Amino acid sequence: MRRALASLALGGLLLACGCVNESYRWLEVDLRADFAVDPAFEDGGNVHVQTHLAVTNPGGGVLSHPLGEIDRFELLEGARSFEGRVEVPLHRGEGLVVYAWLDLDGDGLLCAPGAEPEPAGIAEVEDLSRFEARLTLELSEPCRGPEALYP
Amino acid sequence: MKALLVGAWALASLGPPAGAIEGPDLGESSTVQAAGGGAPRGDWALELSAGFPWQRLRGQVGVGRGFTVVGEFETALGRRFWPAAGVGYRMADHAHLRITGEAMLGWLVQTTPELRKRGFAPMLRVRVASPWGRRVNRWIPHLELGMRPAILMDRSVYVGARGERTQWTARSNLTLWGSLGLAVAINEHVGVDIGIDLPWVDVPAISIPGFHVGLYLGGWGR
Repeated sequence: MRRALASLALGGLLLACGCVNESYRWLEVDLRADFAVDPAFEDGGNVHVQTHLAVTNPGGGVLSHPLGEIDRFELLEGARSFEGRVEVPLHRGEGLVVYAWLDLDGDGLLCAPGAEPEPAGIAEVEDLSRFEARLTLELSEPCRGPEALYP
Repeated sequence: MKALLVGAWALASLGPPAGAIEGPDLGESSTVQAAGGGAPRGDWALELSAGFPWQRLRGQVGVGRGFTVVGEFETALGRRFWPAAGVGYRMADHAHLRITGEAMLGWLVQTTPELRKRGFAPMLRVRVASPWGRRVNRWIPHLELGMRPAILMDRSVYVGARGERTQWTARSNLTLWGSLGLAVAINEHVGVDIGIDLPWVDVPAISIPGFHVGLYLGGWGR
């Protein structure tokens, strides 16, 4: 309560002084994502996860486009699920899309010439209004980047 | 540049000669005072400067003991503004060398839509002038070196299951200023100035040099 009041007071003062430069707005979403590897592929290695906006610069202008990376990370020790908070930058766009791929050969790269195909998958969070989401991604598309899978 | 700063610092450390700028008649024109900073108590000077891309209105009044009160309004093509007020102190006061340090408190407003900036922007500045000539120190080459950090506040609003919280973050940018000019005192009260401006705006972004012509007025009613 005290922090909220202090923020309010500081915010009021700064607004009165006209000194807000950039104004950012973030949506905090508690996300749980489970990753299932298509049986057609070998199941081994770590899953690499990317979170994206569904649309960057929405509104249909010339700078509007699907996707827009928010964050990327790797699930260590062969974990097949992720639980954590994702901050969606609403000042950049809208929606939340999760993309993942399985790093079978451990080189940190999605596929490579002569290497075994690595499966990927993508899913969009349908409803962000409850600030929580649960997804199950099937990693079944060989060597496909997020742009190839969405929309 | 480094040697110049070291020299200025060495001279400044000598301090002003006792009573040197307190006397009622130093034979010092308002142009010398405006270009080099500093003024005897009650003396005032005004600088009107126009050029590309900088324009400036600056006034100062001597308040005694080597101090001046300074007010300034600077703009770059009507898109970047810097109103400021502060104090100056004449650190060296010799026949052919005046050095004044100035500390200013200002506010930066940049209105260019893509590069909007606004925030507290203090400035530290050294003015060096070397008056020459008989009568009213007619020729006054002068140098101005300054640094101006700006503190820019950004606001982030986080919306989540526990409500909304606001977080303020500060970033800063730095503007370095250099200006070299030649002022000419037409008489005790009026002078003109021409010079080049070498600002480094928002370091490390590249800035283009500029130029200015100025008019100095003051000293009436001493």
